[in-house]
Amino acid sequence: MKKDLSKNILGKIKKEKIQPISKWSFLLKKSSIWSLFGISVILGGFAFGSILAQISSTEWNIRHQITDSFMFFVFMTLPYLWIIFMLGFGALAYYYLRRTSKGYRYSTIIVVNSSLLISVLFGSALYASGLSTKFEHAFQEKSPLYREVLDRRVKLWKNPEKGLLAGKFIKHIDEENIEIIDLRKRIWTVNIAEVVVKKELPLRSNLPVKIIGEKKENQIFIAKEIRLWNKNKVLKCDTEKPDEPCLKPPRHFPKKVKENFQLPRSNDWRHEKR
Amino acid sequence: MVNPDFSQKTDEELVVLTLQDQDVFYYLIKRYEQKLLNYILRLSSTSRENAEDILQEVFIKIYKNLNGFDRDLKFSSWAYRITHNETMSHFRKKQTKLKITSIDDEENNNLINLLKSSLDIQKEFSTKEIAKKVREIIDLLTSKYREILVLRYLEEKDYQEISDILKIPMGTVATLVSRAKKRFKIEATKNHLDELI
Repeated sequence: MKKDLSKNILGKIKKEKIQPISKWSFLLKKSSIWSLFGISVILGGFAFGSILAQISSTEWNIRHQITDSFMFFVFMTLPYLWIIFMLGFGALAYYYLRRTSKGYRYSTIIVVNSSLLISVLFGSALYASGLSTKFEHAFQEKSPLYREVLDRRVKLWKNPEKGLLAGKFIKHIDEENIEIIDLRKRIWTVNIAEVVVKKELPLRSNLPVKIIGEKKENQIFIAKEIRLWNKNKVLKCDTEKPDEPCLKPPRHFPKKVKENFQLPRSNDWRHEKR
Repeated sequence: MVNPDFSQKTDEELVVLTLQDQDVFYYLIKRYEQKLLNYILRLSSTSRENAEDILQEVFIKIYKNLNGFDRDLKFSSWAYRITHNETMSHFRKKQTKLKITSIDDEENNNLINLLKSSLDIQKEFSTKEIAKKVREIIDLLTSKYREILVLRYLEEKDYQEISDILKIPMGTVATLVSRAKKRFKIEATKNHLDELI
């Protein structure tokens, strides 16, 4: 006698008291996947905004001190960390979008491009609103690991031999000399007699600065230009603190100096070294 | 036993009714048991008893997941997807090579259609011997190609349904069908199948 398979299956379901999984668990699973996709796209957007912020804050005018090759400089200063993050979050977004109920219906190119496009649009909006730049500076200020190890642009400023020095202001020695501690924790005496600045620069204790100039003897540096570490930050000289040394553009960046001002080129440095 | 009211209902209506009354599931099982059993047998070389065990697991899984059934899909595509996954996972565990089992004359005709479509043959012919040979050649193909040929030519599913069953884009389905047919043609020529026609 042919057995009734349908009855047997239904019998087993009844006997084992099998119940359908609640629709809430499916809803939870579905919304978790969409949330993870959304989070990946948002984080990818943050990464893209940081890429834009880093590229826009790259100081192209120091290129000649490092290399004569434009491409080499671009490769040196590309924000690889954020590029890796963006690709990583892009891959996660792809993974989660594929796992949505209809995600499999779209081709890989459409899924990859759409998730990257959302990240790019979101990242561009973040950059345009200035949030990415703030985020980038917060990272630089709060995370020594990021500042000194992961941000490749920082390494450029660990090159006193090539005329690039960065660190924190310690004290004012006299009218023409200041003391700073560089990114490698070495103390430098920096001569500012002929220094130029583009913005007001009150030399406050622990203020992070970048200096372009020329290394002389051990730990002595002749500054030609001093910039704030944070390119977009604006500081004003405090009139209530007359003792605080303050460099101002009108005095230290006269038109004549500006016209004649030229950054030393990497070739000059090589020549001098020889 | 078969309630005429239920036999007129669509699959999707039966799903909704099953969630209200467990007994209605009987009509869904009845509607699909033979189709899904054939599919399991076509995908595998397993015995009928073993296929029935797999089918039982398939229907239990379908029942458990009824609340997760996406109404934008055809119920049959969803049921085939669960059957495909359950069969594959069953044989993956046992590490058995899948083979196509002969089902009936209709299947022989479908196998002949596959042969005609792949080798671009207009001539009418239909012999059990050739169908057997076609089956042997399909068994030589990798599981990726075999699965797609079974769904396209033996289950007679369209590209959208195959896409929903295997969870791959329709473009990929088209590519796989085309590659599987090319591969089939190579194997058919190698095995002198054209000489039998």
